[in-house]
Amino acid sequence: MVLDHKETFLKSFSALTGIGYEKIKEYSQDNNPLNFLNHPYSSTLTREVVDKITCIKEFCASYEMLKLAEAGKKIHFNSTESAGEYFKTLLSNLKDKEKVLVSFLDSSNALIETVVVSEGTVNESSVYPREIAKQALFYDCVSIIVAHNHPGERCQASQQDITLTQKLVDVLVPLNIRVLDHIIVAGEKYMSLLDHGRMPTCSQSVTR
Amino acid sequence: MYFLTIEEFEQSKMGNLLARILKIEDKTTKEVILTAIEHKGIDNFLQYPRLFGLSTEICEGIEHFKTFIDAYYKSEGVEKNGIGS
Repeated sequence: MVLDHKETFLKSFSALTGIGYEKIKEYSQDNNPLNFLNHPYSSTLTREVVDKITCIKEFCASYEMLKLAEAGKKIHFNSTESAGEYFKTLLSNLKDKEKVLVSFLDSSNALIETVVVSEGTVNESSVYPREIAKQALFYDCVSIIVAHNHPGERCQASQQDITLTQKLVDVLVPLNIRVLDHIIVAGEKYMSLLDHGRMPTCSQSVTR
Repeated sequence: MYFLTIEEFEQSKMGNLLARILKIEDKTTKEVILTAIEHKGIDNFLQYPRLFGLSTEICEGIEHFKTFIDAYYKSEGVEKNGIGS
């Protein structure tokens, strides 16, 4: 059964990329054929083929994300771990750019919607708290969780991350919307600002 | 500023990636693919590309893609670190 998958994988990969089947088969006898996908630069491939492989890899990441999003209607965030694992699945595949996501939650911490707030460069992306506030009101949410990835896989919050979280808290808390956590995904790891005691409180007094 | 939902964002991205992988440059064909993914879902589209009036060549490319995706995920499920190794 496993060999069937391998054969099918190699044949379809060859058909899609144009790499000769014999070449892929020979390589896969002593190596993991997934290397073609995960480390295309390690093989002697043309620029065009490497571009195609990059597209296929991105497609797989999007496919996983879409599948999870389709199932996401039933997701409840009961803990920082459940949130961390959710965002890890969505963001751990991204190695070349920062992406910022926001999940809008109802009063039982069930997911209403997750949106892509920004997709930036390898170490930077723009986020506008005012726009997130507009979306939060649109979804009629009670709380939000923010998440983004560190393509460099540094599993620590930067000063910019803390500042952004503070700005979101300052904008949303007066609207009675809580910012539950800010999750940072770094490769296969993640860190939660809440778990690390680094979630800021609202810097202005709020009258309710 | 309208934020795309994850579904909208990824659907649009997948349509564009598919067009790049299969070297589809015709704008109308790209539109057909994006609309099909958006309305029918990615799995339905990959499974039944011939329902959307696309050329035989493109349908065959999409079928290769479907075979690849299935094999990739089955393999990942069977053995994360290597296919049949």
